Amino acid sequence: MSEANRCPTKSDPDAELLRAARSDPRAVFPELVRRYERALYNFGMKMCGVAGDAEDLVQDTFLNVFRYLDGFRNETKFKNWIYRIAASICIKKRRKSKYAPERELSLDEFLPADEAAVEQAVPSWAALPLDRVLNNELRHRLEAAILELPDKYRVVLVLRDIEGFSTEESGQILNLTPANVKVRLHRARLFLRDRLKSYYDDE
Amino acid sequence: MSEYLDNELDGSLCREIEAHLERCHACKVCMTTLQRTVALCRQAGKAQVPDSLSRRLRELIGTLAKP
Ligand SMILES: [Zn+2]
Repeated sequence: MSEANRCPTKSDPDAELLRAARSDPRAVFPELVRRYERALYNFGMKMCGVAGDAEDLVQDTFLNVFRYLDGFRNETKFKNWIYRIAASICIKKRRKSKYAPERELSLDEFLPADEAAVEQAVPSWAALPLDRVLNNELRHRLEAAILELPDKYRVVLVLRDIEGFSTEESGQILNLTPANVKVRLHRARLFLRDRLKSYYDDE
Repeated sequence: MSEYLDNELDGSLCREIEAHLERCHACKVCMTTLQRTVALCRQAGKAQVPDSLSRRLRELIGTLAKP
């Protein structure tokens, strides 16, 4: 990891566990799994959409985490380091599994073609209280839309808006500048909004 | 717009945008629907780890624990 990725990590919640790992790394494996299996599985599901692939991703991630644990140098939070490993495995796997070049999302794709297409009122899915619109159908619709995103946009959206990493942290995890993270995130959000909107328009 | 929603803009720019949203209905609709999209993502459910995966991870740890 480069110097640019350094940041203070005084409050890493895993610090104690990592100290224990220095004397006996194998002894902390079960606890590491307990802490991160669910988060990583959900990350895998959002990225791959298929349980089998998500499971493979989690297993490969832990294998690498265990293998390189003594190489972890506190340049970043441990959690971010784990996601860095998971994200790079995931992107490599997905690249291998398809040959088509990745689609770029351009901004004008989401701009209304003419004045008339500009919405006049806030649509119901955005106007009603969140708990009234959030049902299983909408959840599925949203998950499907996330899976439609090209990988490089999807991974940013998942880290930022689902996993809750900051712009800075997402940049570290993905080796992207904060500006790049922001651009991809914004396009990903516009894409999702477009999908949600057409879903409600069709109703 | 995303930077505004993420509180990543400085105060003066933020206030400029807010003033514009007050006056411009189209932008207001735009911002509201984008905000809702983000809110929906944040509500995405977390699945439980399936038994098959727990088993695989236990096996992985078992293999690595062998001297
Ligand atoms: Zn406007």
